[in-house]
Amino acid sequence: MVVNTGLYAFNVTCAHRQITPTVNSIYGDATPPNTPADFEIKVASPSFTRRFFRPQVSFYCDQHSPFKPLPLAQAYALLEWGMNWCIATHDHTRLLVHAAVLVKNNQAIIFPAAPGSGKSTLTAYLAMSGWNLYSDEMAIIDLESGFVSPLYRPVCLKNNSIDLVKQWFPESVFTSTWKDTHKGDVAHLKASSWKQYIQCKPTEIVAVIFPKFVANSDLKIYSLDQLQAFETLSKNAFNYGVLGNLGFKMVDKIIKRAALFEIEFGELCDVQAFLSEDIIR
Amino acid sequence: MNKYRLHPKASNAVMDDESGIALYSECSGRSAFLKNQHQKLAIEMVSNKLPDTFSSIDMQSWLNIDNEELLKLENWLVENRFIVKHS
Repeated sequence: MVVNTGLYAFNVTCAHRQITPTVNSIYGDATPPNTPADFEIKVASPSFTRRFFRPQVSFYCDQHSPFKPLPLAQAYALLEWGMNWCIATHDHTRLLVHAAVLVKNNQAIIFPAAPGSGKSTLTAYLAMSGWNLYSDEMAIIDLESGFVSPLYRPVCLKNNSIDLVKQWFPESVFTSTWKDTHKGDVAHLKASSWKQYIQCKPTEIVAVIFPKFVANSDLKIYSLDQLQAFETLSKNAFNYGVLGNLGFKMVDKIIKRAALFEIEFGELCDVQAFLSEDIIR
Repeated sequence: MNKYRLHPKASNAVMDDESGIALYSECSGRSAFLKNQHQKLAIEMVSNKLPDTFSSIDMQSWLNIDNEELLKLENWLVENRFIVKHS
């Protein structure tokens, strides 16, 4: 089975049939890629015994298994994390930043954030409210133009945000919820269609915003200076060290072109209003 | 007083908003972020890059740090190949 995420294609072998319907529900509308797969990956039991006794699965990229095995019930989540790992550890032709990317009026905003910051909930909300979803996980930035490219992937929701997003957007396509993973409960949301995805083109980054969810908080907006943004953005780049001087120059270019903010928010609609009124021109 | 220049395999980026200087060393693979604590840095950075040579006193003035901190910083920047002593 080939999974086409737009920029990268994965040839996926699944030893467990129950993953296939979920893969099809998320990626089934994508057209097959025109090029050979970039990655050969597999989700399979780590041993014969583990097929039957407390069944487990491992993720393999070629012959390499970068993670510890997980319970069979978490196989789809493992596949998604494995795909992230493949991209983050192999593509050094672009700057890869751990960040969500959303686009409106051909202007991209990237949201680098630590786990638990509300990034994915914010991403889901904006993506389901008319913004173009470029990524929930990774900003993929061209080293010459500085433009960010879209990736056809779902949004990974965790814990309380799963039920919240289901309440807000009950018609959307969700995977099952995988319980008790190392990130807590996890479900994936298909936040855009292939038809929407292919309309998305590489786009200029107009703002870098570091979000932080604080329950019951009013929206607080802090302007960041360029040096703070440089340091934080470079620390969120997966391959900054590998790219060396190219990565340094690209981060410098981004922070000198973009508006730079840190925000604390309790309500997503406040963030959307701020972005639409003050950032997007 | 020591005089320094940027290491030939180091890059620098002076922030447009005068918030400081970012350095990257290709030899050590490390970055350094030197925050501007003093308006003198902004005045001296008019060309948007570090001067060809600069002294310990210049660094102390840019960063507004005491002698002990300055010594530690100079050593760290030299060890990690951001700067070299200029004879």
